[in-house]
Amino acid sequence: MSKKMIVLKSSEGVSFVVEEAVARQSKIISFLVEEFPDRELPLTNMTSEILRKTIEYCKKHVVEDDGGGDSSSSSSGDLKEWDVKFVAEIDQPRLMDLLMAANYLDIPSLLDVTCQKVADTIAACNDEKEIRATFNIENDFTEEEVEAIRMENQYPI
Amino acid sequence: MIMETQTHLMEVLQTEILARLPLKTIFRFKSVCKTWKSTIESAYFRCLFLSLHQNSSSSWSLLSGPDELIGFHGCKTWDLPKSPASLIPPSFKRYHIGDCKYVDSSSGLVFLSDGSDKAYCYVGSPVLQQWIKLPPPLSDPKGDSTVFGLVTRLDEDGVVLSFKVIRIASVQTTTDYLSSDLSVLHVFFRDGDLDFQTHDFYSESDQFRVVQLPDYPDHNKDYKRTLTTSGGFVVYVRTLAKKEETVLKIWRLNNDDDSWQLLWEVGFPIIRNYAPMAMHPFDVATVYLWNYTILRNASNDGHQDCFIDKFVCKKNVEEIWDPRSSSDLDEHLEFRVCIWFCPFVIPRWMESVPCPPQAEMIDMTSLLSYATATHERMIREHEAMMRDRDNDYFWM
Repeated sequence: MSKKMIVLKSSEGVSFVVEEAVARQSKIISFLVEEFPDRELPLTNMTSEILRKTIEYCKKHVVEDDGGGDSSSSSSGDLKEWDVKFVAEIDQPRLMDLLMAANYLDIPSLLDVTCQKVADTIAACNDEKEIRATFNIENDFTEEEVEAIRMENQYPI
Repeated sequence: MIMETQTHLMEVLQTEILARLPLKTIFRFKSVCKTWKSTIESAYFRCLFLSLHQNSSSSWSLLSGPDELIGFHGCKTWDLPKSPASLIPPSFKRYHIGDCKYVDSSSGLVFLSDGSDKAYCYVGSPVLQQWIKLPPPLSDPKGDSTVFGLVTRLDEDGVVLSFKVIRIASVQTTTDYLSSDLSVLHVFFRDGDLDFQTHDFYSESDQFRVVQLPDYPDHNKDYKRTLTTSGGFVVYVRTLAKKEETVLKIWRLNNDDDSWQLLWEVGFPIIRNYAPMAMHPFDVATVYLWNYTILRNASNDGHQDCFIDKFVCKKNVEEIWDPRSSSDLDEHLEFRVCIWFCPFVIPRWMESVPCPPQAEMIDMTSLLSYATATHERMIREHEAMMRDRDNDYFWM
């Protein structure tokens, strides 16, 4: 039996042909496939690069339930390791795009992995200045306000 | 328009990202920008943080007074580099009369007394480094009453809403008190008794309820028994070394009707003298037993960053259950139930220490310098007293 395929189209108009089971990890796509079967789905706010990454993630995480019940293609330990490597290879701006894509397409596990990666980057910063520089955040506090916050939140460690 | 949507999206995701940081980092980075601060201080953020961390255990130490028996700090919720009890400055663990010293703890807050100025006492959080200097009660302006214990009231997420300190007008030396993180129910116990009293310090009522131990009137002198708390309940743990096995029984006191429910009855095929030390503060399936050579937990709870002070454990266990102390002279010790091992748990979320209107908030540095000054004054007075005594002797 041939697997059912669907077509996803990036903002640049590039079409990606994906197995339906792979794409259905996105709750949004899952919904759209049911509403509009046999239609190409345009994802106008996702670049080809990010869409390709998202599909790569979904392919790895697809649960194949044809045959002997629920069996993931990899063990959960291997998957975790794969996830860590997957996000480690992406640079900061693309990671943010991927995070937005996970949020937009509603893929909870990808959202979790990408959020955790960003959180780890924040935790690795030495001070708030480094965070602002890394994430391009403007400091909208006065010096007095910063000092007041620091007084309230002292830690021994 | 597109920009606005993007910014809003980022704010939603910002909450998701920040909630995955350990609490230590979250509080440290409030000063990044205004949106981060308001995100972190929102009720939704607290909810999300707690739901993401509901399966990760909190940091806790098992204390006997200020001595730390066991310490766990390797949890993702806080990311503390040290065990909770080691955050309490060692200067509060001295036993000199007149010093500022550790009295009790509840829900991550520590209660200190001031031995030289008995009117004042201190409550604070060693993690947040916030302390409250509490004036004496209106009914007792000189502070003649004895500082005794600390109780806290928590909300449904386990966050401290308020605290109360207990001062007692007259203390019998045999009265003891099980400090618990049960938020309101507190247990008074007297050595040699087979029942104990509980009191809710947040109720209008001044009644104490009397609760009998579940094995009453059975008081086999070979039982080793500990009254402790776990998962919001008073728990009674009892071991008995038999010929072929060691029997462990655990009961839980139901809060609404004071009835005991037997949770576990397990026989170990190993014949050893196991003394019950504690229950895991959240997990009633984990019990910590001392077997006089090493400490073991009955089930593996997955902690890696665990610290055990074997010397302090041994000393404490032997003081309580050493067969030499239960001689004929000390007959009441046969009924002894250990209530001195208290879990000191860092809550999974913390707000500022609540400050009552008449009290003063101070930081850790002021508290420490205050304690040092008190200590030095106490030493000087002691030396002066010794000199006076020598002089008296000289003139006699």
